[in-house]
Amino acid sequence: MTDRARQKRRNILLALVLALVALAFYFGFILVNVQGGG
Amino acid sequence: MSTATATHEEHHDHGPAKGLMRWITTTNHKDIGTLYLLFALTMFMLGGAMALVIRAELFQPGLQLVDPQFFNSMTTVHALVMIFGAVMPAFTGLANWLVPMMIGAPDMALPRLNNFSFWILPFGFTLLLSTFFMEGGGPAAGWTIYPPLSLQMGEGFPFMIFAIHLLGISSIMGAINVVVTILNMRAPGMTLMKMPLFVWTWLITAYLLIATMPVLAGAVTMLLTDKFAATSFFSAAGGGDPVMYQHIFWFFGHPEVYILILPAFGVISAIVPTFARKPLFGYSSMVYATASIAFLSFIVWAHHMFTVGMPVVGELFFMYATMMIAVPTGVKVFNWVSTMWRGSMTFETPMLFAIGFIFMFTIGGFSGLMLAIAPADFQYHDTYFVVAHFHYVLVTGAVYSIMAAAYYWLPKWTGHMYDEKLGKIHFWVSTISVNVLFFPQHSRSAASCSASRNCCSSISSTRPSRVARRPPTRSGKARPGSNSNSCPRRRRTTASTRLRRSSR
Repeated sequence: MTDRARQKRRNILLALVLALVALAFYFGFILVNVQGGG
Repeated sequence: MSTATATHEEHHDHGPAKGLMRWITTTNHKDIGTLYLLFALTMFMLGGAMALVIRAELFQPGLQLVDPQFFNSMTTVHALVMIFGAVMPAFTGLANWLVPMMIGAPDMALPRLNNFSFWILPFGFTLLLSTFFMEGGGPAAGWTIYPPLSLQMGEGFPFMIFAIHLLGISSIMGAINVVVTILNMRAPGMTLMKMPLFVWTWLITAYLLIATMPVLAGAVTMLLTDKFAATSFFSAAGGGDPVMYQHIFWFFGHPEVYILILPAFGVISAIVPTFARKPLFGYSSMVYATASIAFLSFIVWAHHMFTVGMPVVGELFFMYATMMIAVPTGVKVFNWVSTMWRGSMTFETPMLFAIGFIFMFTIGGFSGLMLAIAPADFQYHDTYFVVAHFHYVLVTGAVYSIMAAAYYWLPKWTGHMYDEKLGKIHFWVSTISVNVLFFPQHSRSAASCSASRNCCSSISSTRPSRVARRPPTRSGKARPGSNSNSCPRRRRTTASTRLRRSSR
């Protein structure tokens, strides 16, 4: 695997982790409110 | 062989696409930065036109230039356009142009995502602005879109919600790109503590965006299901709680304030040392101050809603936590001043805007401290004092830093030097105008004027304030100030003002 390909893979992995964090916040806040009486 | 090469070149046009397709398909960070900046300028003009409608309507009590519903739409969409359409895209444009160059990266980490992040924006705003042409008109419940008022909006409601989702997705994707670029693409030797402060402030801003934009998206999704899917998240009639919406909104809304101002701090930290001809004073303290502000921004949200009736312990916590933000912010202001101290200063246009920023943002900061005092906030809440405060931090703060950045980096972007004389005229006309416009708004609260109407205060009329709730005296007479008719300005209102008030 070339350095460039390795860099690309690291970039995509980090982006996916951050996207998952954002999705967790989104669904987390809705779910907490569903529990709270929605 | 030569024939084969000629054929190859005839069939393939190496290099960027030409014409419109260049801008639609570009993955170049500079092109995308330019697109963001031009989009922000367009939205700035649009939001400014809406502000003109607002000021024209308020030019004199009783004027009725526009329909009351349209007036409320103007205040609402002016805010949404300026926040999500002007200031945020302008800073994203600056990040696109500057971050890769400042850290020695060839481009942003995810160029196609970068292109997609930008091109969502025009569609999002088209969706938002299209609501003006729908039954019921545009959004008119304020940029906070508090229920139950916001749920009374007409057919444009789901379009506005979807537009906010699109703008949020765009911001999150842009933020992810910035974080990945800064963490993974720095040139060898460029350690985190060697990065320019603009890069640091954008890294922290990007984390704030990733953490808070989904919260806004969640809140508006719940509004959507309350309206169309028979849920009762925020409906008291169904067991929900409208105040919960305010808590969720401001959990996003307060960090959003810092999303709008932290990159400005980075810009000023780049410009002041250049024109003072000294290195920035206290680099590492600037980094830690930025991180502290970002952390504190998550634990102060309820200072926007002191008047909803929180426990006193809650009010005290949010009051003291808010006041603590003054410490790292003060560190920054003192560092900029210390950088200028005994420097060989010159006052070109970017430096004028930077000094204007430091001076007038500090005024906005101090009025913010005044608002942080819970008992005082009961009087300031929903008055023009708040409007004066946030326009000082956002116009003479965020917008001034964008102007400073544009003048500072324009020669680098375009290869052309701007006209210094015109730049200075721009600065002085802006500075005089914004102060004539916004400074008197501080005292409009002393005259008890609500933020959203040109009549007597909600404190003395519509909102059941502490004064209004006081029982009558023993003789049965109302206490001074407890009757809405005690406001002398109220008696002077015209029939058209009363009509407008009743229609709200």
